[in-house]
Amino acid sequence: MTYTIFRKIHLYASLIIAVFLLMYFITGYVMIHDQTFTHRESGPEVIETTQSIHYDGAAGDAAFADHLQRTLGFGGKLTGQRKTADGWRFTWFRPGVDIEADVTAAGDSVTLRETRHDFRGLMNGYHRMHQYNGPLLYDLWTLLYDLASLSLIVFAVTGVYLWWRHSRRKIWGVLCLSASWGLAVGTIVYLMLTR
Amino acid sequence: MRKWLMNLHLYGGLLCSSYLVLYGLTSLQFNHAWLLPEKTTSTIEWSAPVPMPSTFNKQAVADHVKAQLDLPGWVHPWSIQRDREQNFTLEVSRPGKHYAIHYDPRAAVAVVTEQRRNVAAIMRNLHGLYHGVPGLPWLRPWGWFTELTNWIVLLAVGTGIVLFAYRSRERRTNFIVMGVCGVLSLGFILYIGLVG
Repeated sequence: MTYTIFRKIHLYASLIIAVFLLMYFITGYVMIHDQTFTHRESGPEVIETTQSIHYDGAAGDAAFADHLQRTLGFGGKLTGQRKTADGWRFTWFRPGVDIEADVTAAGDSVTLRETRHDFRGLMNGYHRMHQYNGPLLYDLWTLLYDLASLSLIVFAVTGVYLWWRHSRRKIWGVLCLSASWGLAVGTIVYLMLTR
Repeated sequence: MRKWLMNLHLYGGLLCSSYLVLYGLTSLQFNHAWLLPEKTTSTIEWSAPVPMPSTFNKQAVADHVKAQLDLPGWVHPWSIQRDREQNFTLEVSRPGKHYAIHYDPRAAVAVVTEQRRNVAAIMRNLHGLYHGVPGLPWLRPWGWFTELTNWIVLLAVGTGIVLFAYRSRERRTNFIVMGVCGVLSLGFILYIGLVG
Protein backbone atom coordinates (compact mmCIF):
# COMPACT_ATOMS: atom_id res chain seq x y z
CA MET A 1 0.00 0.00 0.00
CA THR A 2 2.70 2.50 1.03
CA TYR A 3 4.79 1.37 -1.94
CA THR A 4 1.88 2.12 -4.33
CA ILE A 5 1.29 5.55 -2.79
CA PHE A 6 5.00 6.45 -2.99
CA ARG A 7 5.15 5.20 -6.55
CA LYS A 8 2.15 7.30 -7.57
CA ILE A 9 3.58 10.39 -5.86
CA HIS A 10 6.92 9.84 -7.66
CA LEU A 11 5.18 9.27 -10.99
CA TYR A 12 2.57 12.04 -10.93
CA ALA A 13 4.92 14.65 -9.47
CA SER A 14 7.21 14.02 -12.43
CA LEU A 15 4.41 13.96 -15.01
CA ILE A 16 3.02 17.27 -13.76
CA ILE A 17 6.24 19.23 -13.31
CA ALA A 18 8.59 17.52 -15.84
CA VAL A 19 8.66 20.27 -18.48
CA PHE A 20 9.14 23.04 -15.94
CA LEU A 21 11.86 21.07 -14.19
CA LEU A 22 13.62 20.35 -17.48
CA MET A 23 13.55 24.08 -18.22
CA TYR A 24 15.45 24.71 -14.97
CA PHE A 25 18.07 22.08 -15.70
CA ILE A 26 18.54 23.21 -19.30
CA THR A 27 18.81 26.90 -18.36
CA GLY A 28 21.14 25.92 -15.49
CA TYR A 29 23.29 23.96 -17.93
CA VAL A 30 23.60 27.03 -20.20
CA MET A 31 24.58 29.11 -17.16
CA ILE A 32 27.36 26.80 -15.97
CA HIS A 33 28.66 26.31 -19.53
CA ASP A 34 28.49 30.01 -20.22
CA GLN A 35 31.55 30.07 -22.51
CA THR A 36 30.24 27.27 -24.75
CA PHE A 37 27.40 29.43 -26.01
CA THR A 38 28.06 32.29 -28.42
CA HIS A 39 28.28 35.78 -27.04
CA ARG A 40 26.79 38.61 -29.03
CA GLU A 41 29.90 40.69 -29.74
CA SER A 42 28.05 43.96 -29.91
CA GLY A 43 26.41 43.44 -26.49
CA PRO A 44 22.68 43.57 -25.90
CA GLU A 45 20.44 45.18 -28.51
CA VAL A 46 18.95 48.45 -27.27
CA ILE A 47 15.86 49.99 -28.87
CA GLU A 48 14.91 53.49 -27.74
CA THR A 49 11.72 55.36 -28.61
CA THR A 50 10.17 58.57 -27.32
CA GLN A 51 6.48 59.27 -27.53
CA SER A 52 3.82 61.45 -25.99
CA ILE A 53 1.26 59.99 -23.58
CA HIS A 54 -1.87 61.08 -21.80
CA TYR A 55 -2.78 60.09 -18.23
CA ASP A 56 -5.26 61.71 -15.85
CA GLY A 57 -3.88 60.32 -12.54
CA ALA A 58 -0.57 60.93 -10.73
CA ALA A 59 2.37 60.14 -13.00
CA GLY A 60 4.50 58.47 -10.33
CA ASP A 61 2.16 55.76 -9.05
CA ALA A 62 1.90 52.04 -9.78
CA ALA A 63 -1.34 52.55 -11.73
CA PHE A 64 0.65 54.74 -14.07
CA ALA A 65 3.07 51.88 -14.67
CA ASP A 66 0.09 49.70 -15.63
CA HIS A 67 -1.18 52.46 -17.89
CA LEU A 68 2.21 52.65 -19.62
CA GLN A 69 2.27 48.90 -20.21
CA ARG A 70 -1.26 48.86 -21.60
CA THR A 71 -0.97 51.89 -23.86
CA LEU A 72 2.55 51.19 -25.12
CA GLY A 73 1.87 47.46 -25.41
CA PHE A 74 4.73 45.68 -23.68
CA GLY A 75 4.82 42.96 -21.05
CA GLY A 76 7.06 42.22 -18.09
CA LYS A 77 7.23 42.38 -14.34
CA LEU A 78 7.56 45.81 -12.72
CA THR A 79 10.87 45.74 -10.85
CA GLY A 80 11.34 49.36 -9.84
CA GLN A 81 9.93 52.86 -9.83
CA ARG A 82 11.70 55.95 -8.54
CA LYS A 83 11.74 59.69 -8.83
CA THR A 84 14.54 61.17 -10.92
CA ALA A 85 15.70 64.75 -11.51
CA ASP A 86 13.53 65.00 -14.64
CA GLY A 87 10.49 62.93 -13.65
CA TRP A 88 10.10 59.23 -12.93
CA ARG A 89 11.84 56.05 -13.98
CA PHE A 90 10.05 52.70 -14.19
CA THR A 91 11.77 49.38 -14.90
CA TRP A 92 10.33 46.06 -15.99
CA PHE A 93 11.79 42.66 -16.59
CA ARG A 94 10.94 39.54 -18.51
CA PRO A 95 13.35 36.75 -19.49
CA GLY A 96 15.91 38.16 -21.92
CA VAL A 97 14.47 41.69 -21.92
CA ASP A 98 14.88 44.72 -19.61
CA ILE A 99 12.59 47.68 -20.16
CA GLU A 100 13.20 51.16 -18.78
CA ALA A 101 10.75 54.05 -19.08
CA ASP A 102 11.72 57.64 -18.29
CA VAL A 103 8.63 59.77 -17.84
CA THR A 104 8.78 63.57 -17.79
CA ALA A 105 7.69 65.41 -14.64
CA ALA A 106 4.57 66.65 -16.47
CA GLY A 107 3.73 63.04 -17.30
CA ASP A 108 3.15 63.81 -20.98
CA SER A 109 6.15 62.13 -22.59
CA VAL A 110 7.95 58.83 -22.16
CA THR A 111 11.29 57.52 -23.40
CA LEU A 112 11.22 53.76 -23.59
CA ARG A 113 14.48 51.76 -23.68
CA GLU A 114 14.17 48.06 -24.42
CA THR A 115 17.37 46.05 -23.85
CA ARG A 116 17.27 42.66 -25.53
CA HIS A 117 19.87 40.18 -24.29
CA ASP A 118 21.28 37.23 -26.22
CA PHE A 119 20.42 33.53 -25.75
CA ARG A 120 22.45 33.27 -22.55
CA GLY A 121 20.69 36.31 -21.13
CA LEU A 122 17.34 34.72 -21.96
CA MET A 123 18.30 31.46 -20.21
CA ASN A 124 19.67 33.39 -17.24
CA GLY A 125 16.44 35.36 -17.01
CA TYR A 126 14.29 32.23 -16.98
CA HIS A 127 16.48 30.60 -14.35
CA ARG A 128 16.71 33.52 -11.95
CA MET A 129 13.10 34.68 -12.00
CA HIS A 130 11.57 34.17 -8.57
CA GLN A 131 10.06 36.03 -5.56
CA TYR A 132 6.36 36.50 -4.87
CA ASN A 133 5.83 40.20 -5.51
CA GLY A 134 3.29 40.18 -8.34
CA PRO A 135 1.79 40.48 -10.82
CA LEU A 136 -0.36 37.34 -10.79
CA LEU A 137 1.23 35.81 -13.87
CA TYR A 138 4.70 36.04 -12.34
CA ASP A 139 3.46 34.80 -8.96
CA LEU A 140 2.12 31.75 -10.81
CA TRP A 141 5.59 31.30 -12.28
CA THR A 142 7.10 31.50 -8.78
CA LEU A 143 4.59 28.95 -7.52
CA LEU A 144 5.63 26.54 -10.29
CA TYR A 145 9.25 27.26 -9.40
CA ASP A 146 8.51 26.30 -5.78
CA LEU A 147 6.71 23.14 -6.92
CA ALA A 148 9.66 22.19 -9.13
CA SER A 149 12.04 22.73 -6.19
CA LEU A 150 9.83 20.71 -3.86
CA SER A 151 9.52 17.95 -6.45
CA LEU A 152 13.30 17.46 -6.42
CA ILE A 153 13.14 16.61 -2.72
CA VAL A 154 10.08 14.43 -3.32
CA PHE A 155 11.85 12.52 -6.13
CA ALA A 156 14.87 11.86 -3.94
CA VAL A 157 12.89 10.73 -0.87
CA THR A 158 10.31 8.61 -2.71
CA GLY A 159 13.00 7.27 -5.06
CA VAL A 160 15.10 6.01 -2.15
CA TYR A 161 12.04 4.38 -0.57
CA LEU A 162 10.98 2.75 -3.85
CA TRP A 163 14.49 1.39 -4.43
CA TRP A 164 14.64 0.00 -0.89
CA ARG A 165 11.33 -1.83 -1.34
CA HIS A 166 11.87 -2.81 -4.95
CA SER A 167 15.42 -4.06 -5.00
CA ARG A 168 16.50 -7.43 -3.60
CA ARG A 169 20.25 -6.88 -3.97
CA LYS A 170 20.89 -3.60 -2.27
CA ILE A 171 24.65 -3.38 -2.54
CA TRP A 172 24.74 -1.18 -5.71
CA GLY A 173 22.11 1.13 -4.37
CA VAL A 174 23.92 1.46 -1.06
CA LEU A 175 27.13 2.26 -2.93
CA CYS A 176 25.42 4.93 -5.06
CA LEU A 177 23.74 6.49 -2.03
CA SER A 178 26.97 6.44 -0.02
CA ALA A 179 28.90 8.07 -2.87
CA SER A 180 26.24 10.73 -3.28
CA TRP A 181 25.76 11.66 0.36
CA GLY A 182 29.41 11.10 1.19
CA LEU A 183 30.43 13.65 -1.44
CA ALA A 184 27.78 16.17 -0.36
CA VAL A 185 28.45 15.91 3.38
CA GLY A 186 32.22 15.65 2.80
CA THR A 187 32.21 18.82 0.69
CA ILE A 188 30.25 20.76 3.31
CA VAL A 189 32.53 19.54 6.11
CA TYR A 190 35.60 20.37 3.98
CA LEU A 191 34.32 23.92 3.51
CA MET A 192 33.58 24.24 7.21
CA LEU A 193 37.00 23.05 8.32
CA THR A 194 39.44 24.47 5.75
CA ARG A 195 41.01 27.82 6.34
CA MET B 1 15.94 -3.22 -22.39
CA ARG B 2 13.39 -2.34 -19.72
CA LYS B 3 15.68 -3.65 -17.01
CA TRP B 4 18.57 -1.53 -18.31
CA LEU B 5 16.42 1.58 -18.37
CA MET B 6 15.11 0.80 -14.89
CA ASN B 7 18.64 0.41 -13.54
CA LEU B 8 19.76 3.63 -15.22
CA HIS B 9 16.78 5.48 -13.76
CA LEU B 10 17.16 3.91 -10.31
CA TYR B 11 20.91 4.07 -9.74
CA GLY B 12 21.31 7.40 -11.54
CA GLY B 13 18.66 8.82 -9.23
CA LEU B 14 20.32 7.38 -6.13
CA LEU B 15 23.69 8.69 -7.25
CA CYS B 16 22.46 12.26 -7.50
CA SER B 17 19.90 12.10 -4.67
CA SER B 18 21.94 14.32 -2.34
CA TYR B 19 22.32 16.98 -5.03
CA LEU B 20 18.59 16.86 -5.78
CA VAL B 21 17.82 17.50 -2.11
CA LEU B 22 20.39 20.32 -2.01
CA TYR B 23 19.02 21.83 -5.24
CA GLY B 24 15.47 21.55 -3.91
CA LEU B 25 16.21 23.10 -0.51
CA THR B 26 18.36 25.94 -1.80
CA SER B 27 15.92 26.75 -4.63
CA LEU B 28 13.10 26.96 -2.09
CA GLN B 29 15.35 29.14 0.05
CA PHE B 30 15.61 31.72 -2.75
CA ASN B 31 11.87 32.39 -2.23
CA HIS B 32 11.54 31.53 1.45
CA ALA B 33 14.70 32.60 3.25
CA TRP B 34 13.36 31.39 6.63
CA LEU B 35 13.64 27.78 5.43
CA LEU B 36 17.45 27.83 5.55
CA PRO B 37 18.47 31.02 7.35
CA GLU B 38 21.99 32.12 6.52
CA LYS B 39 24.05 33.29 9.48
CA THR B 40 27.54 34.30 10.43
CA THR B 41 28.62 31.83 13.09
CA SER B 42 31.87 33.49 14.17
CA THR B 43 34.00 36.52 13.42
CA ILE B 44 37.71 36.71 14.14
CA GLU B 45 40.29 39.32 13.38
CA TRP B 46 43.92 38.59 12.60
CA SER B 47 46.81 40.30 10.93
CA ALA B 48 49.73 39.15 8.82
CA PRO B 49 52.74 40.75 7.14
CA VAL B 50 52.27 41.49 3.45
CA PRO B 51 55.24 43.04 1.59
CA MET B 52 54.70 46.14 -0.51
CA PRO B 53 53.59 45.24 -4.07
CA SER B 54 55.55 46.26 -7.15
CA THR B 55 52.54 48.10 -8.59
CA PHE B 56 49.73 50.15 -7.08
CA ASN B 57 47.14 49.09 -9.64
CA LYS B 58 44.04 48.23 -7.57
CA GLN B 59 43.34 44.77 -9.00
CA ALA B 60 47.05 43.82 -8.94
CA VAL B 61 47.35 44.89 -5.30
CA ALA B 62 44.24 42.90 -4.39
CA ASP B 63 45.62 39.79 -6.11
CA HIS B 64 48.98 40.32 -4.41
CA VAL B 65 47.39 40.64 -0.93
CA LYS B 66 45.21 37.55 -1.47
CA ALA B 67 48.20 35.53 -2.67
CA GLN B 68 50.42 36.67 0.21
CA LEU B 69 47.72 35.82 2.76
CA ASP B 70 47.17 32.48 1.01
CA LEU B 71 43.40 32.93 1.04
CA PRO B 72 41.20 30.72 -1.14
CA GLY B 73 38.25 32.28 -2.95
CA TRP B 74 37.39 35.16 -5.23
CA VAL B 75 38.36 38.82 -4.87
CA HIS B 76 35.25 40.95 -5.41
CA PRO B 77 36.43 43.64 -7.89
CA TRP B 78 33.77 46.12 -6.72
CA SER B 79 35.05 45.89 -3.14
CA ILE B 80 38.60 47.09 -3.92
CA GLN B 81 39.06 50.63 -2.58
CA ARG B 82 42.13 52.84 -2.13
CA ASP B 83 42.13 55.82 0.22
CA ARG B 84 44.27 58.98 0.12
CA GLU B 85 46.97 57.41 2.29
CA GLN B 86 47.25 54.56 -0.25
CA ASN B 87 45.69 52.04 2.13
CA PHE B 88 43.58 49.38 0.47
CA THR B 89 40.39 47.61 1.48
CA LEU B 90 39.08 44.58 -0.33
CA GLU B 91 36.82 41.59 0.17
CA VAL B 92 37.48 37.96 -0.61
CA SER B 93 34.92 35.20 -0.26
CA ARG B 94 34.43 31.52 -0.85
CA PRO B 95 31.64 29.15 0.18
CA GLY B 96 31.47 29.30 3.97
CA LYS B 97 33.86 32.21 4.53
CA HIS B 98 34.07 35.92 3.96
CA TYR B 99 37.22 38.00 4.47
CA ALA B 100 37.24 41.79 4.77
CA ILE B 101 40.84 42.97 4.41
CA HIS B 102 42.47 46.29 5.29
CA TYR B 103 45.97 46.57 3.84
CA ASP B 104 48.53 49.19 4.75
CA PRO B 105 51.39 48.85 2.19
CA ARG B 106 53.78 51.19 4.05
CA ALA B 107 53.49 49.22 7.28
CA ALA B 108 53.39 46.02 5.16
CA VAL B 109 50.53 44.65 7.27
CA ALA B 110 47.09 43.32 6.36
CA VAL B 111 44.35 43.14 8.97
CA VAL B 112 41.76 40.49 8.12
CA THR B 113 38.23 40.26 9.53
CA GLU B 114 37.23 36.67 8.88
CA GLN B 115 33.59 35.62 9.04
CA ARG B 116 32.61 31.98 9.14
CA ARG B 117 29.17 31.22 7.64
CA ASN B 118 26.75 28.48 8.61
CA VAL B 119 25.81 25.29 6.73
CA ALA B 120 22.83 26.97 5.04
CA ALA B 121 25.14 29.55 3.46
CA ILE B 122 27.52 26.83 2.29
CA MET B 123 24.64 24.85 0.77
CA ARG B 124 23.44 27.93 -1.07
CA ASN B 125 26.94 28.55 -2.43
CA LEU B 126 27.14 24.95 -3.62
CA HIS B 127 23.93 25.35 -5.68
CA GLY B 128 25.13 24.97 -9.27
CA LEU B 129 28.80 25.53 -8.39
CA TYR B 130 30.62 24.16 -11.42
CA HIS B 131 33.89 26.03 -11.98
CA GLY B 132 35.34 25.38 -8.55
CA VAL B 133 36.92 27.91 -6.23
CA PRO B 134 40.50 29.22 -6.60
CA GLY B 135 42.69 27.70 -3.91
CA LEU B 136 40.27 24.90 -2.99
CA PRO B 137 41.32 21.92 -5.16
CA TRP B 138 39.08 19.48 -3.28
CA LEU B 139 36.04 21.33 -4.51
CA ARG B 140 36.66 20.23 -8.12
CA PRO B 141 34.69 16.95 -7.71
CA TRP B 142 31.67 19.05 -6.78
CA GLY B 143 31.83 20.60 -10.26
CA TRP B 144 31.79 17.14 -11.82
CA PHE B 145 28.89 16.22 -9.55
CA THR B 146 26.99 19.30 -10.78
CA GLU B 147 27.56 18.25 -14.39
CA LEU B 148 26.63 14.63 -13.68
CA THR B 149 23.43 15.60 -11.88
CA ASN B 150 22.35 17.75 -14.82
CA TRP B 151 22.74 14.84 -17.23
CA ILE B 152 21.17 12.32 -14.88
CA VAL B 153 18.07 14.46 -14.45
CA LEU B 154 17.69 14.71 -18.23
CA LEU B 155 18.17 10.94 -18.50
CA ALA B 156 15.80 10.25 -15.61
CA VAL B 157 13.00 12.19 -17.29
CA GLY B 158 13.55 10.29 -20.56
CA THR B 159 13.85 6.85 -18.97
CA GLY B 160 10.92 7.62 -16.66
CA ILE B 161 8.67 8.30 -19.66
CA VAL B 162 9.71 5.08 -21.39
CA LEU B 163 9.26 3.10 -18.17
CA PHE B 164 5.71 4.25 -17.54
CA ALA B 165 4.91 3.67 -21.20
CA TYR B 166 5.67 -0.03 -20.61
CA ARG B 167 2.81 -0.28 -18.14
CA SER B 168 -0.20 -0.72 -20.39
CA ARG B 169 -2.66 -0.37 -17.49
CA GLU B 170 -1.72 3.26 -16.76
CA ARG B 171 -0.24 4.27 -20.08
CA ARG B 172 -3.23 6.19 -21.45
CA THR B 173 -3.89 8.20 -18.27
CA ASN B 174 -0.22 8.99 -17.79
CA PHE B 175 0.26 10.21 -21.33
CA ILE B 176 -2.82 12.42 -21.01
CA VAL B 177 -1.59 13.91 -17.70
CA MET B 178 1.91 14.43 -19.07
CA GLY B 179 0.65 15.81 -22.38
CA VAL B 180 -1.74 18.31 -20.83
CA CYS B 181 0.75 19.46 -18.17
CA GLY B 182 3.59 19.56 -20.70
CA VAL B 183 1.68 21.66 -23.22
CA LEU B 184 0.46 24.04 -20.49
CA SER B 185 3.97 24.40 -19.00
CA LEU B 186 5.62 24.92 -22.37
CA GLY B 187 2.94 27.40 -23.38
CA PHE B 188 3.42 29.30 -20.13
CA ILE B 189 7.22 29.37 -20.50
CA LEU B 190 6.94 30.66 -24.07
CA TYR B 191 4.27 33.20 -23.13
CA ILE B 192 6.41 34.63 -20.31
CA GLY B 193 9.47 34.80 -22.58
CA LEU B 194 7.75 36.24 -25.65
CA VAL B 195 4.97 38.39 -24.23
CA GLY B 196 5.51 38.68 -20.47
